[in-house]
Amino acid sequence: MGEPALDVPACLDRVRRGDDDAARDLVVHLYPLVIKIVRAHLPRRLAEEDLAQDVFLKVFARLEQYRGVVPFEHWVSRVAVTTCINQLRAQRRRPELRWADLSETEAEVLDAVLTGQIEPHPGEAMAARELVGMLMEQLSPEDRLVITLLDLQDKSVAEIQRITGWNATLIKVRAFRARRKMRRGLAELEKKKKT
Amino acid sequence: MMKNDAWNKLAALARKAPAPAEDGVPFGFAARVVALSKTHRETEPSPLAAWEWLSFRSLALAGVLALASLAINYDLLTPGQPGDLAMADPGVDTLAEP
Repeated sequence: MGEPALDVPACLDRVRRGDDDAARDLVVHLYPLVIKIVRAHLPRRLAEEDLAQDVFLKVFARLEQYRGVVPFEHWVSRVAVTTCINQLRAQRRRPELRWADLSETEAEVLDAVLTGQIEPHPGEAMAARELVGMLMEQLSPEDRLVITLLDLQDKSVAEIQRITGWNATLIKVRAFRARRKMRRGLAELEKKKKT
Repeated sequence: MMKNDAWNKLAALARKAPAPAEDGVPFGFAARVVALSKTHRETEPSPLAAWEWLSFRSLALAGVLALASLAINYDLLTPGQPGDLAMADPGVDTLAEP
């Protein structure tokens, strides 16, 4: 038998009254949600635990601003997304991805994808994930977020709206722009390989 | 067309990558976050702090201006001697002596 679900509104009341146990319960309850967002948008050279800690500190610092208009988890998601975007903004974008930057497996996967002659082995999924991560480092944090949620996490536009608070048109425009950049990046990599 | 498919193929393959293990909260993480948030709250200046600082400055400045104003206009504010009025305003003399 699992633990009973946390009564979030009651817990928030206790946190606002300065109850440390309730604050710890809230962190434990929200950790899976926060760490998922953090892992999907983690900048280079930053530990996921440090970024998750930043997110929670912001949540507690801004708790008085939460009015209960949206579910608390959605509000926390938006705080997490904003924190990650700010961290990604602070990080310099990768200037350009070269074929020489790729590991052997990544190069094989990319070759297979670009030529379309062989179907990549599912075991090479991790390499593909790494490769996508490297390509996405050339995108703006906002474009990167949208394409991660849409194309890698299979989220719907409505779900992304809930997580980010952005409107549907903005999400679609960003997705279009991000995919175009990804395709251009892949085409350039292919060109470099040939030369 | 093939190039356009390349991104979709790569993304589809990347989606198959196993998600990181859903491990729970690291040991001591919740306690550390709660302790840090309390420290931040105690050390963080209140949004009214700047306003308070400005108000105290303004109060001190207002006090100095009031004192300066009193000093400059001291003569006008203090009741003068009986003869001073006639010297200050000859019109009053005219009214007093028809």
